[in-house]
This record gives sequence, C-alpha cells and structure tokens, in this order.
Amino acid sequence: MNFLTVIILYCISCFKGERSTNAVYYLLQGKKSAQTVQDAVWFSLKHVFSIYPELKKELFQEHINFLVKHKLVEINEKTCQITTAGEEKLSNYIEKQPIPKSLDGWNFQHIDKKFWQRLSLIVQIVSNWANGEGKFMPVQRDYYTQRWVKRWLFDWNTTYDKQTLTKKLYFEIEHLLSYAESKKENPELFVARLSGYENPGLTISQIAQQYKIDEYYYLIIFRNFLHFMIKSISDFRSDYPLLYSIIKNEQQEIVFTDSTRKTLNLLSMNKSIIEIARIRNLKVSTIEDHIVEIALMDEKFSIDQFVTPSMQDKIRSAINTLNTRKLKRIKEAVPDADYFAIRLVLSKWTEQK
Amino acid sequence: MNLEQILQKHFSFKAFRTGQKEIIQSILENKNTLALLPTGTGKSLCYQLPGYILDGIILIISPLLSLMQDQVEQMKLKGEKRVVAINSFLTFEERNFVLNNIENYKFIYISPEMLQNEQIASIFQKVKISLLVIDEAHCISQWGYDFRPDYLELGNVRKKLGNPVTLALTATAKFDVRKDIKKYLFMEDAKEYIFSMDRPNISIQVEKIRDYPEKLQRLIELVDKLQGPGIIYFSSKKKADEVAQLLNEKGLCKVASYHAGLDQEMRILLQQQFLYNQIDVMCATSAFGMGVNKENVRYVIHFHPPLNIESYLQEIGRAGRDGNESIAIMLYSEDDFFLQQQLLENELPNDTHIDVFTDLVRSSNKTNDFSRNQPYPGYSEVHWRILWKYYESSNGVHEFQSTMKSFVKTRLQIKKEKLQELINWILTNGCRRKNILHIFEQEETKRVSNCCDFCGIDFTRFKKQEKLKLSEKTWMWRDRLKSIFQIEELK
Repeated sequence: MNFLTVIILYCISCFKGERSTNAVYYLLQGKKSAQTVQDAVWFSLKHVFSIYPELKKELFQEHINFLVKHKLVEINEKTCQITTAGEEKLSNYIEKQPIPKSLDGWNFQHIDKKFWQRLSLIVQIVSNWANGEGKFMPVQRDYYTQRWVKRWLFDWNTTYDKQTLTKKLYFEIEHLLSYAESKKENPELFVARLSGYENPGLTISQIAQQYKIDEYYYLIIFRNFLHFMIKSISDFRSDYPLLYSIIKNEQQEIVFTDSTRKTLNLLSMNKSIIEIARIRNLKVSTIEDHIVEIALMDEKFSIDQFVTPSMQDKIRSAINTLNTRKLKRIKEAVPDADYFAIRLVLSKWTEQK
Repeated sequence: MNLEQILQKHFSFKAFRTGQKEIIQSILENKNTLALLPTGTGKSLCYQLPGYILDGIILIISPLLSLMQDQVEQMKLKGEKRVVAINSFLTFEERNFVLNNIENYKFIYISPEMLQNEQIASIFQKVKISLLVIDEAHCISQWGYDFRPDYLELGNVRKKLGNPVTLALTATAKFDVRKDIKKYLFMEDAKEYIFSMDRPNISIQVEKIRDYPEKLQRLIELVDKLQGPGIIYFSSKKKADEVAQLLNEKGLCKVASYHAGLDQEMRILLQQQFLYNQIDVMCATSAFGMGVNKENVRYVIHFHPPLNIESYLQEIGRAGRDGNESIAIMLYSEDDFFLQQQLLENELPNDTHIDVFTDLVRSSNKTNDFSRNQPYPGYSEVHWRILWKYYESSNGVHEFQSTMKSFVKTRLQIKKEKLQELINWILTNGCRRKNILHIFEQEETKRVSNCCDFCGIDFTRFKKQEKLKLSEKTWMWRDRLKSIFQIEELK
C-alpha cells in the first residue's frame, strides 16, 4: 500500500458512499467537467483536485482492485463505500503521513507544473552564468518553457546585469525558503531537485529513497511545497518581484459556457432569474443551473441574493447533521427549502474543521 | 580554412578519427556516399562538418525521435543555433513556424513519416538541399535487424528533392544490406567507405552462468571489482530497477536505473548525474545510450543478452570512447535464450491482436472508447502504432488483415534468425572478435591484446584502483542553494 492507495481511500471516505470510483479518478486527475468540479466543492476535496494529473486509468484500477480485495472498500452498483477496516487503516496512515496543509490543487493546478519548469530552468541557467559557462544541457526540454524563460531573462536583463539578477534571484529564493521553513515546510525536499552548474538535481525516486518515503507521498509533498511557494509569492508579491513575474500572467481563468456567460451578463445588470428566463426564452431551471455553475466556479460570487442567510444556516446545519450530499434527504429535513437553494449552499461548501 | 581548422573551430577537436575525413571529402566532391563507422566514433560529425562549408541545408532523416532530440540538443550545446527537429513532438503552430522560416535553419532533422506529408515535402522542394543524410540507413533493408517500412519510400523522396548529394549511414556492413540501401535509395553509384566495426580497445568476455541467483552473485562481484564507470544492460525495466536497488543496498557504489518508463526530466537528470560522475553504475534498458556522450565508461555488462548482434555491438560501443582500455562482459544462462525469444514475439502484434483490432475498427463509432492515441488494453504502444499505420495505408479491412499478418510473420522469422545468429556467436568456440567480424563479412585488422575470453584477458587491468569512498554528502538546503548560485558569503 503506497500513498496513492491512501489518497484514493481518503477520497472514497470523503465521498461518503455517494459517488463512484470514477469520480475519484476524475478528481485526482483533475477533469474539468461540471460534475467533477461539483464533486470537489460539495465534498470539500478541492485541495486534492488534480494532484495526480498523469495518473493512468489502469494503475488507478489496480489500486481499486487492491482496496476491494483487502476489504477496505466495497463497491455497489454505482457507488463505492469505505469499510470500517478501511477507515481504521486510513486514519493510521494519515496520522503517519498527513496530507500536507498547503496543498491546494483547486487554485494552483494550472500553474504549479509551469512554475517548476520555468524556475528550475532559470536557476540552472543562472547557475551556469555564475560559473561562466554558456553551454549546458537544459533540464527542461519543453519548447514553450525554453522560449518563455529566454524571454524572461531577456526582459530582466534590460533592468539588471547578469550578476545582479543572479544575486537578486538567490536572495528571493533564500528568503522564501526561510519563510517556508518557519512555517514548518521542508525546503530540503525542494532544493534537492534543483540543478545547477555541473550539478544535476536528484530524481524523484532518489529523493524518496534518501528520505525513506514512498514516491507518491514525495510527489504530494513536492506539489504542496510548490503551492506554498506560489501562494506566498502572490501574497507578498512586493517582496518577490522576480519570482512573482514568473507567475503573474497565469491567473486561473474561469471558463463558462457561452450560455452561462450570457446569464452572468444579465445577472450583473440586476435582472432576476425570471426576467432572465423570459429575455433568453429559456426555462427557469436552466437559468438556475447556470447560477449554480457560476457559484461553484467563482469563489467570490455571493449566493445571498438567492438564498437568505438564515435559510443558508438551516440548510447547512441539516447537511451537517445528516452528513450527506443527497439533495432529496436534505430537502426532507428542510421542507421549506427548494432544490435550487440546497444546490447553491453546497456550491459554497467549506468544511467546518 | 582547411578541414582540420574547421574541425578545431566548430568541434574543438585537433584531429579526425578513423574514416571521418575520407567520408567528408567524398561528400565535398559531390559523391553519393555509403558509410559505416564503428559505433561511438563520431559519425554525426561526417555530416555536421560539411554544413560549415556547403551553402545549402543539411537535411537529416532519422528514425528515432529520441535520437533526433538528443542530436539537436548536442548541437545546440556546441553553440549551433540553426538546428531543428521536425517531428511529432512539435505542436501544429511550432511546425508551421519552422516551415515558414525554413531558410533560417542549417541543420534540419526530420522523421521519414513527416517527409511523406505533401505540404512538408513541397517546402523542401523549394529550398536548396546541399546534403541529404539517411541516418540508420540499414532500416531500409528487410534483411536488417531494424527494418522500417517508412524507409522504403525514401528513394522516391530523394527523387522528389532533385537527387541531392546523399550520405547513407549504416550500422551494419553486411553485403545484402548495403546492396538494399543503394538499390532503394537509387544510388547504385555510391562510393562506399566501410571501416572495420572492430573496437580494439574493448575486451570481450562472455560468461555462462547456471541460474539467476548465481548471475546476481556474479554481477555483484563484478561491480565490486571492476573500475567504473559502468553500464549494465537489462532486457526489462523492472529488472533494471530491482538490481539497481539491490546494488545500492550493498553499498558498493552509486547506482541508478534508467529506462523509457521515466519522464523526460528524470532521464535528463540521470544522464547528467552519470556524466558528472555522481552515479558510478547505470542499470539500463536499451533506451540508455543515445545522447550519453560520456567518454570514460570503463565497462558494459549485459545482464541479459540483447536480441541481435548489431544491438550488442552498439551497446558495448558505449564503453571506451576515450580510446582507453575497457571491457564488455556478457552474462548468459540457457533460460535467457528462451526469454529473449518470448520478448521478441511480444514486440510485434500477434494474430489475435490483429483480429481484435480488425473487429474494433469495424465496429468503431464515436461512442466507444477507441482512439488512435490510446492503445487498447493488452496492446503495447508499438503494437498500436504499427497496426494503425498498416490499417491506414491499406484498402479495406480484409487487405489489412492479410498483409498485416504476413508482414508480422516475415519480420518475426527474420528477427528469430537474428537472435539465433547472436546465440550461435555466444555458443561458438574461438576468438569472439574474429567471429563477430566474420558475421559482418569483415576480417580482423590487427591482433588485439586482451582480446576476449578465448584469446585471454588480463583481468587485473580492469580492477578497481581503489575502493570508492562513498561520499554520502547530504546537503543542507542553504548550502546547496549557495553552491548553485555560487554565493560565497552572505552579507
């Protein structure tokens, strides 16, 4: 049992027997479908969204088979459920190897890999400069990354000479990693992968071996560290002008369907749902679907105009007591709430820890 | 400037190696040229150097994507910026960019299937090609160990390009293969430069081992005794990983494993670690070698025999590029022959694969999970590629089914013969070197000391000079960061 098995078990546990194994696969892989996005939000699994983007279906299935064989999960017709033995095993593992706390796949999956590719190549180039060497084997072969980095260096070179740029980059990274250390994140696991002049970094499996952890756990810790860096860089961007310029033009775009976008436009003109439905000649329920989608995708979008705060509280406490995401059961507990209100509350779901 | 000065200026070498100068001169005299150089002795220089004399494009056709990428990176490393590889790694936009700016490139690597694209072919018809290079030209021959149907089209491609001066590079000296190359490329007039395939500074040892545990034991002993750096070849990724781990646990030296299952970033890191002596021994599959320009590899061990004698020569050729004494050791047990036979059969799709594939394409519609890019369960990526290639170039399902099956049958037969050739060589008494050269219809050029296990090898010459001190240096992150940035002191 490795950490991938643990994460899968963790997701199954969080899905409370109300989702299939496929839902787990799409979540870890980061499928950008309305269903997967909704699962991530409703079941408070945004942090693990897209944390194994390269996960192959066959490998995933092997892990599921393992879990079933050892009676840690049970698969019913469409859903799967963790067993008592499974819960026990899971809490044992999570205690030893907790899911790192800065992990935030939801917000950073679009940039973490790019950030690493760019930064590692920049560091390698700058290191070779510092040693007076212009020719070396780039650690990143991706054409776009290479071109992007070339441009980045060129642009900064108009402000700073090579030596100054090197020093400034060093101080920014040193400062950021010291800050990470003060927040109990471990910079060793990051720096070991950096390559410099005639000094290639370690591979994933070499680091995992050295620190005696399994590779999947290392991958999570590494991703967690990248997320910590990216978040800190944007929170304190004035302290990290160089590092911030690596990520600043990579805001996650919220992509809506055309139809949803039209609804959103009309909403921002203060039209009511019924008005929008009439203007667009669509069913009210369709417009409601659009609004649920917007609430899911846009964290800043407020639902107060559709559900009164007191009704939100009622629905929330019913969800907590029942510990379910089944709309019908929630509706039975709060008969005066409509389905639209329940879905909106779930779309803003954050686990009270 | 004379050739030596150009060599010095662009490649930083003082003198040519065997054969290079003759081949370059032949090209410069506008002669079609067929050349064979022993592996690991710088054949790419034969077409790169003329690029600094001739005014047109050097177009290089190469069958392996990874090989192409490596060549491009190596040239860039030497400061040549006008180099590019046109292959399926490029996105549509990148490809268009390159094609629209084709005059800005001097050295263009391209895969054979890309050249069959009409649009691309027409672009190359409009530019001046000073030299057409067919790398791995033996792929054109059905009698070769590495036949690629794509290569049969290259003669027509050559015609379309207006018969530019052509250099065909082959890794095998066999007569029928050379004949095929000249025939299919329409260059019967080609001048041939066939040099000895022998690498006299590599001693050849073949050892029969009873069983697997004994083999492991012997390997550990060798790694302990032999002077590194070394490469150990395996026929499976899994074994390479396992043995690397075992050797690391023994703590004899730093070992890593390398195979195609690793992503590109990891592969580059491992190549670099090996190059800068952070790794002493690389446990590898045949994926390791290309792009590893390490001069001082002292030994190559085959934990499993390869599938044919050409691959064997290529792999041992990675030792001793600096010209110093090195040793190649093959460990084999009789089970291995059976295993290799199976491996060989799994390389190509079998009849069931072909039948199921046929059913799948017949019943395929948009709803089922059947895609060109994703091999169906039970098929390898190679299977999938071959099947699609044949399917798309055939008229109808029936024709496909029968031509595919007969193609596989023929290939399998030839591959088995190639394997048998290697097995015979292993089992035959007599000088190993002489026997290899005989297979390639070549004669021994000179007596070699420490020749092979039959002629006698003085093992003390390959012994580790001193026990390696394992510097298990664990960096504190601040120190490592400082060293990367060359920061001496903090203010």
